[in-house]
Amino acid sequence: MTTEAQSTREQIEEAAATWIVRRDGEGWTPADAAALEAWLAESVAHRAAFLRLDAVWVKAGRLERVSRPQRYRLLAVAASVVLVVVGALVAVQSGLFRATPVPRRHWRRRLLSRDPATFRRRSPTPASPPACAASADPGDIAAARG
Amino acid sequence: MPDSVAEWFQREILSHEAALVRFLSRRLPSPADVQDVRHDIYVRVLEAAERELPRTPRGFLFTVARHILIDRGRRNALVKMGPLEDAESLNVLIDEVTPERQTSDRQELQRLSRLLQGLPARCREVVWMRRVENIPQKVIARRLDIAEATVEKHLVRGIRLLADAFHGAEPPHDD
Repeated sequence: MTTEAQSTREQIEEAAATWIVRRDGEGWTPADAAALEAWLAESVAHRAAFLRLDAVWVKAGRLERVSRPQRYRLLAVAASVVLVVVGALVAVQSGLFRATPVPRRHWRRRLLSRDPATFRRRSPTPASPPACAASADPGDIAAARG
Repeated sequence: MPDSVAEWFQREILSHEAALVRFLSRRLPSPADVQDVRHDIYVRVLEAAERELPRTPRGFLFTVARHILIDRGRRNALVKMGPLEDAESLNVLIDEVTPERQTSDRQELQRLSRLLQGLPARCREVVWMRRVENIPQKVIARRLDIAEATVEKHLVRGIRLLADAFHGAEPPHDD
């Protein structure tokens, strides 16, 4: 019974899941993002576990679309359109509409970007990022042998 | 980690986990062993992919699986081996690696929704509130009258159970 391997795999999956949950909560700082990046950079095992869990987490975040019934969605869209139009008319009417540009926030579709906040526990030492070798390896079979 | 490798891994490798888990389950004594070996296989596949993307992802995945099982068989004399099972039998049979039916995005989400219902009660409640209703963890803690740390614990448990169920095509269960 490979208890040692089991506990390592268990620990890694637990850590990955914790990272994912915290990244998605309030209190996530740029320092936390850096700590996560460091943890991911530590080993391939971390990255593999993280990718596997994140895939499900991201999909679960889209469940909202499935759970909401179709007709209400159309109704909600129609209602929001009406509100926007009415709101715009009111704004124009009362002279609230200005020609000043509004800064836009760009959302990067990456694993690590979140808003800053507090974070309780940190991983001990940030590791240096993995060196991605540019040279290709002999072949797939050789790589499979490890 | 480059996004393209991450996306490739999720799209081309994780999509075969159900077949991989079936393959491993017939050759390993326990579900924990299956999870360990599955993890080891993914590590080696990702390692290789980060150097160079394999041309045939599915084939590569099962080649790695074969090699790891052989290595493990050599190291661990307690591996269950029937009379017909030797190194040759680890050759993947065609019918074991049947192509997964292409599921639509919506079907996938509906399946995930069903799996979510199978989670332990409190776990399901917390995951639902957080992921589907998008309620902040602090508010969930207040509403359910539990500590924030407990909310986090349920979410961590929930995502792990869901991942096992979703990728491995097994109903979610606690070990």
